[in-house]
Amino acid sequence: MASLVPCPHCGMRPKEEFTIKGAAIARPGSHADANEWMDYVYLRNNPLGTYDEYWHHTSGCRRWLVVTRDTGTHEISASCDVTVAVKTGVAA
Amino acid sequence: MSEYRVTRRSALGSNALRSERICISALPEGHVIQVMGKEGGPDLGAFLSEKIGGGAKFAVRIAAPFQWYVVGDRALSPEETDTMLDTLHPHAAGVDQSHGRVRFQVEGAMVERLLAKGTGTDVSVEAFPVGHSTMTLIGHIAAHVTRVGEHAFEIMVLRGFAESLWDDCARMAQEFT
Amino acid sequence: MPGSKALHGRGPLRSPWLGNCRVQVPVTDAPRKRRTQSLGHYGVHHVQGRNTTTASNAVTVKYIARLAGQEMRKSLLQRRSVFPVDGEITVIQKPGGGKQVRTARYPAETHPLAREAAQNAVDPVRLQPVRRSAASTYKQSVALASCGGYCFTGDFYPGGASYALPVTRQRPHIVQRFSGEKVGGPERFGCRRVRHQRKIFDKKKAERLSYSGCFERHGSNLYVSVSLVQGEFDIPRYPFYTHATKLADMRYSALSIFLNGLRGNQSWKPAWREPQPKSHYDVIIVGGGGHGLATAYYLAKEFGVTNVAVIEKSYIGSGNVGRNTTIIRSNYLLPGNNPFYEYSMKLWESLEQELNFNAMVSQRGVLNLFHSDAQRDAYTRRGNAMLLHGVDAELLDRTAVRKMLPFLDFDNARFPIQGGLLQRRGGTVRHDAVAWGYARGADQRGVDIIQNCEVIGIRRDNGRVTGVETTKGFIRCAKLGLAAAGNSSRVASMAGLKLPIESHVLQAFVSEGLKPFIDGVITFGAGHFYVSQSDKGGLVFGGDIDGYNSYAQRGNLATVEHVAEAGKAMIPGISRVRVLRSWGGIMDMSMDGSPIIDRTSLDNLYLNAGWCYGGFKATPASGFCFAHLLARGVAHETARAFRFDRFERGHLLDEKGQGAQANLH
Ligand SMILES: Cc1cc2nc3c(=O)[nH]c(=O)nc-3n(C[C@H](O)[C@H](O)[C@H](O)COP(=O)(O)OP(=O)(O)OC[C@H]3O[C@@H](n4cnc5c(N)ncnc54)[C@H](O)[C@@H]3O)c2cc1C
Ligand SMILES: [Zn+2]
Repeated sequence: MASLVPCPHCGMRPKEEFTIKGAAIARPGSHADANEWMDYVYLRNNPLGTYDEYWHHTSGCRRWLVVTRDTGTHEISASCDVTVAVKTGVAA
Repeated sequence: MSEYRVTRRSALGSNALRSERICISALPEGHVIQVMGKEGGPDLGAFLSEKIGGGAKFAVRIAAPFQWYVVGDRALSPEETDTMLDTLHPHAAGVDQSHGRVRFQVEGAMVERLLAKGTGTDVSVEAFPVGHSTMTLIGHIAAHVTRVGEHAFEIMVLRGFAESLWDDCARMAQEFT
Repeated sequence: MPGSKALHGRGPLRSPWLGNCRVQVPVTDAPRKRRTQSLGHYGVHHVQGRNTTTASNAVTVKYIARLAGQEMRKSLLQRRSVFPVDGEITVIQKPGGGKQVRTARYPAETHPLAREAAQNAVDPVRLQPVRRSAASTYKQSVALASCGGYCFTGDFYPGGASYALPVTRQRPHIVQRFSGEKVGGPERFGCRRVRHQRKIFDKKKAERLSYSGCFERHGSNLYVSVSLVQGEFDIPRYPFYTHATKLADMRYSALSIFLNGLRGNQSWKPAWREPQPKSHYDVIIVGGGGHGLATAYYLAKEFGVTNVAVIEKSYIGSGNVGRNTTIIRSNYLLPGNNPFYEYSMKLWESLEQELNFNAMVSQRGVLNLFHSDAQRDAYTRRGNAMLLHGVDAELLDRTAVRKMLPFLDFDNARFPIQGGLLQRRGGTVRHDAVAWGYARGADQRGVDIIQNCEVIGIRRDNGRVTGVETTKGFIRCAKLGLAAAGNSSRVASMAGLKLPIESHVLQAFVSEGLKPFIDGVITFGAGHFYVSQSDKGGLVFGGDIDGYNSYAQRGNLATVEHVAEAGKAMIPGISRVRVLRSWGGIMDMSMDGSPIIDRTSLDNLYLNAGWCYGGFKATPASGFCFAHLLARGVAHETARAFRFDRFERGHLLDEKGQGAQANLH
């Protein structure tokens, strides 16, 4: 048991309870062109530093979250429900 | 047609493991209704316990944001279930999970110590007061845990995993029995 | 002046004409008194031959004669022209020994130091140590610097232009194009003259600056490099060597071990130099991992490109090449993958002879266990694909596996072992020896391996890369190859490229030493666990990546727990084995699980990335194919599927069929 990840609904939870999807990036609209889809599906900024990632609290509340984490230190600075993230423009 | 009849068998039977400091016992396979409210909708807790939980203590548990479980020891007839699900309309939708989820109770002075072996959730009474419930991993199995007394938790788990989780809990309880 | 100390210790020099035999060059062991600032090196395309000779920055003209072996020595002695006092370099092409030989001539006979230098020249074959004082080196360097007031420079590549070095103290690193200078083609026999007469700083300042000269032979080229050393002359630190006989030094061998043993093992030399970067390279490779070093090695050895630098931000072997679990195999399914990995396997099979380096290549077999009918079908298919590609594969049933590995948990209630797919030619290789072996081989062929030098920028001009900004200054290059593994995205972003890659951490573990009981590599098919036993007895094992983007080179305990559980599920007997150490490495996880070896949208920028957790086994072929691409501009036949644009074109190479999610591959 290790590495607690904050869930806005459940509190601190071990990493095992989550499934990680990857970069929290906006999905293009249905009329987006091939380049935009290429960018969305395959290309990643993959930064060193702060990073927004989709985590699913699979063995908990089963909500999709956007977890803001530092890829260099693994420190988590924020975590919110994906609906909140969409509202505040973090992800779409 | 198969020559074998499908017979209903309870997942945990009337298993029980009792000792002074810890006690694990299967609960009746009554009913489990999963209620799904509208995303961003109102808290239906009070409404649910009054309308379909019959006001019973611990009948309604939070499952997730906008989701609840309504549980009870009594098995419902199909008609009763239908009525219950109709009552939810239009506030929420319900799914009968009575055959899908199984409950058992863990109690005794060592109950927090036992659960702490399996879950990363803080189960101390300050962080996890009576009446509070949550979904969490116990070992490798996801389970819905509700504190029903100072030294008592109810654990609800998918039926297929019930025996395994029971065995895990029994093993975790070994040092306390 | 840090010159009062006597110089001792001897640097390695290999005579260009006498193969690997070494001559000794005094270098200092005096610690640096003052930080010198190298302002870059300037090369002269110069002598043809086959072996490697290098000297440190500190080696001044006196050594030319000793360096160069008979042919060149003769010509130099005859001319007594070893000093560039007037800032002029004359390049003479001269036939010698049937080959065309070009030597340097410095029209400076008049200079007393030059005469002294020529007289002091010793025959390299006699291997006499020469004692020199730092003071004399200083004097010579001042003499070198007496071209002060002029920028001393030379970039004599065919068709190349000259560059001038504007020596201002404020901007010491900036190299400007020096216009108005045409350099004749090197093919022409005769005399090529280049004059450097651009006044760039005033006399007064010049006196306080000095040059040090450097003669380096890289593969078929001898370079006369001159770097500017700011302040008083100071000799850069250089590895020390003591006497060694010709024989013992030539190659690693039983004899060399014996002879070195006789001398108390004091005479072993570092396996590669620690050069300062030159100002220009034909090819720069970013990343001194297995792939970068192998690329440089094959560039020099197979493709004749020797003016190459490998730039490594840390030390050689600090990346994944020294962190992996050492497994090599070629049991791939897809047509785009299999021939490449099989080619790599073939290179592994002859690698140690090739490198004269013990990399402990051990073809102990790789066995993938299966636990269900579906998995058996999948492995059967893979085995058949391997056979169709001419790769060895055997499908073992339960009994055969049991005979090999009786201690596995065959009757595991959930995941009983049903059999396995075995590749006997698979196995393990000592990972850091691979890095060292390639580094040594590349270095011997003239490649500069520049450690502790991080690439922090990629300069571009008109759709072309002009060079890299590094923590040691700007270095120009004609071609740039990226082989930065887990840091590929970051390096590529310096050139404005966005890659189909995420960086993830993968952990590895080593247990305490046990008696030998696992012959080969075993992979569990029902959980993330694989294991082999090292020659020291430790179990070397690992599992899956942790699953989140990371650059941290350390992982999560959740994964440790999973790996331990899966390991115990496969081999119940190891439940009490203690883990001695574990670590993490950063994987360049590509979006289809397969690598990229290709050109990029920038004309002279090449990419080698996306190795996921399987790039170690690819090291030789990756190096070879990348070198092929860099040298010839077209993909090697076994690497044609590793195209950068395959994502756009929909031709994914998804061995596992997972789709575009990096952490599932
Ligand atoms: C735990 C673990 C187990 C593995 N097990 C296996 C296995 O069993 N079999 C197998 O085939 N593969 C395995 N791999 C994968 C394999 O190790 C890698 O795919 C492979 O080593 C990558 O190529 P490389 O050797 O060139 O990488 P590296 O050694 O990582 O080389 C890249 C280098 O680039 C340098 N660099 C990065 N950025 C810069 C910069 N800006 N400037 C200068 N230098 C820079 C880094 O410092 C590094 O040294 C494993 C990896 C790990 C981490
Ligand atoms: Zn949650």
